[in-house]
Amino acid sequence: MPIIYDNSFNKNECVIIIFLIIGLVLILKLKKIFTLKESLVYLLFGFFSGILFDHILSTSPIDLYDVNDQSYYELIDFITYLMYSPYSYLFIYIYKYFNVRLSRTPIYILSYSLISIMCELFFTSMGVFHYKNGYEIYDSFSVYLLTFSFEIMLHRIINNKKTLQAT
Amino acid sequence: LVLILAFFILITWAAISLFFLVPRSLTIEENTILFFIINIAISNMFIILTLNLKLVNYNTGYRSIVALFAFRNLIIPVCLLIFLNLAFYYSEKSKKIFAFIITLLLLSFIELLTQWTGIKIFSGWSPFYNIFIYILLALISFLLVKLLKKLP
Repeated sequence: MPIIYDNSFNKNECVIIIFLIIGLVLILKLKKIFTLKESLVYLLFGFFSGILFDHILSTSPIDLYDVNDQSYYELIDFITYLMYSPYSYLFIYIYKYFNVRLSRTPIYILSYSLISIMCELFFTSMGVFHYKNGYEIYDSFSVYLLTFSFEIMLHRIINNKKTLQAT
Repeated sequence: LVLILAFFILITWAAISLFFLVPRSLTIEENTILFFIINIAISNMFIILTLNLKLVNYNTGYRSIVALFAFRNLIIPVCLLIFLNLAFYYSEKSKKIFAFIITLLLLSFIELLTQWTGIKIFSGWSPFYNIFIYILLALISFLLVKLLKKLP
C-alpha cells in the first residue's frame, strides 16, 4: 500500500514550482559562457543525477525516503527532478565564471554541498522529502559531494577535449 | 544468481569497452546529452511500470538489484549510443540497419535473460513490450542526433 502524506496542491508543490521558475529565469538572464550543447549537458546532469539517486535510494529494497505527496511516482516528482537542472547548471557556471582553480575545487564543492543541504532542509520542512527507515539529512551530504565532484569531472573532460581539438 | 551478476557486469564492461573502441561520430557533448536523455526515459518508464502500475516486479536481492541497475542505467544507454555512433559513422544504409538489428538483438536477449533469471517478474506486461520500447527509443534518439547536429 502506498503511503499518502497529503492529497492537495499546497506548499511543497508551490515551493518546487517557484524554485524551478527562479532557476530558469536566472539561467536565461545570465551571460552565456557555454555553447548550447554544453549548457544542455549541465542542465541534463542535474535532472539525470536527481532521477538516478532518487530512483535508487527511494525505491525498494533501499527505500530511504519518499518525494512529495505519496510514495507513488507523480508528475510533481518529475518536476522536482527538473528543478535540479538550473542549479546544476549554476554550479558549473559559477565555477567557470570565477575560474575556480583546481586546488580550490574541493572547497567549492564542499560549499555548494552545504548550500544544497540547507536547501534540502528547507524542502523537507515544506513536505517535499519524507525520510524513513533511519535516513537523516546528513546522509544526503555524501550524495551531493559525489554528484558535484562528478559534474566537475565531466566539465573538465569536456574542456580538455575542446582544448585538444583546438590544438 | 551469483553467476548472473558476474555475467551482467561482464556485459556492462564489454559494452563500455566497445563504446570506446567503435568509431565515434558524435562529439562528447552529444554522447553525454543522449546518455542522460536515454537514462531519464528508461528510469521513468521503469518506475511507472514497477511502482505505479505494478506490471513488472523485481527481485530485491542485492545481486539482482545490481544486475538490474547495470542493465537499466548502463547497458541499455551505452548499447544505444554504440548504435547511434555507428549509424552516423557509416553512410551506407545497409550498415546502419545492420547496427540497429545487432543492437536490438543484444538488448532483446538481455531483456529476456532478466525474465529467465528472475531479476524481473512480469505480471500483465511482456518483455516484448520492452523490446518495442527500445526500438522506439532508438528511433527517437536517432532523430534527436539529427536535431543535435543542427545545433551550433
